[in-house]
Amino acid sequence: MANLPPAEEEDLEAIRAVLSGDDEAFRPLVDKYSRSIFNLAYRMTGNAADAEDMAQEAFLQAFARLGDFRVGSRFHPWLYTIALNLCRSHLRRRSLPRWLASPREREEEGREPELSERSPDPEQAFLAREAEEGLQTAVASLPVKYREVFVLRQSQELSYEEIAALLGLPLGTVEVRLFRARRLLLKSLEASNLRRAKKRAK
Amino acid sequence: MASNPCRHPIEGWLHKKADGRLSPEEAVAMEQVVGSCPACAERVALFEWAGKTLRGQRALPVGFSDNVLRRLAALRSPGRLRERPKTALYWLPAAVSALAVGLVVFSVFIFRGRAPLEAPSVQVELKLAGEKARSVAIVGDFTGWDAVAMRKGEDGVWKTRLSLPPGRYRYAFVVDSDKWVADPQAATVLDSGYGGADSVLDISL
Repeated sequence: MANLPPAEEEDLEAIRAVLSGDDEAFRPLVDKYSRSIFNLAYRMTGNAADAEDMAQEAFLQAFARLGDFRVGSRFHPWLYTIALNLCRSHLRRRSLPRWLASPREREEEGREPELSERSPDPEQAFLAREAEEGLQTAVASLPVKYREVFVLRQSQELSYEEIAALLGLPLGTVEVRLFRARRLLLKSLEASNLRRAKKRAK
Repeated sequence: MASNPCRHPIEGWLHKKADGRLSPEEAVAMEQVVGSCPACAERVALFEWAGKTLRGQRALPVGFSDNVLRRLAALRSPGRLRERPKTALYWLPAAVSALAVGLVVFSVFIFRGRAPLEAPSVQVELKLAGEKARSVAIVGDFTGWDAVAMRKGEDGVWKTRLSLPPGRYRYAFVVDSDKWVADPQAATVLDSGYGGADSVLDISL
């Protein structure tokens, strides 16, 4: 196994240890990849609490299915696949007709302030938060197929090839979806900027 | 500024620039447009701000790993790691990438079909009694949240049988295609986050 890069070698050793009965050996895998999986789920769903639940579920499923993991493949993409499927189920479920109205969902989406705590000025902080909520709403309004490619590229910074492999898509399709996602996002951001500017002008 | 009255191909440029594929000529053209077209300058600023914000990674609350490890205790460790024979080591570099793509594509295929092919499964029966209904369906993680009809037994109890690998599943019953009902027999019920409750099924081997 000397030909594997050290990071993968580490993961593989942890996996072997877990499979021989050492549950604690799973912890370094969780520590290493939880932030990435959580951020993927957050950007896909727009809800940090749901994203945290989904990240937990992803690791539990990975643990339960560890016997299916093949030596020579990489753990992180495998984990991404599990997380993406959880996101898809979650999003499909959210689109089911419910007698509880969608205004509540819209209320919950994007209500996460923590990314913009750099500025001490309260008004600036407020504007920054508003802008980030606007961004997350715009991302959450992308069609799911575009959103996946977009989030994997922009938030997880995967290459076209990695995204293509992960989603089982040709490179060309990845590029088209990414372009459309970016264009839709830009339009959405411009529109909400305009709305906010008009509101403030009143 | 509504749509794009200026007709500059700014979106195409931004797309290429984001992926490092903007040619030197295009870069010059883009700079000129940004210098002369305020709408495009704003678009560029917006796009770059969005990219930068999206790259920011939110921290997880402390204790995430602890929580996962604690919940793991409820699941049993799965089977042996599937090793390829030692002789394969000589082809490892090429084999690794081929296998990685294969596994990912294969996994995607498995997940599209909702149930993993080779994980051991447990038989479970879910029931709903005391419901005067024309139809009862079950919806949950294991159905992809599609409604699956249940059968009414002679005893008047609505039933469904499932075969599931270990894990935690959320579900609910849907009565007459309209009313969402939690499972009164579920050991755990969780807030669905949408004003209702999900029943939880924990399966271990």
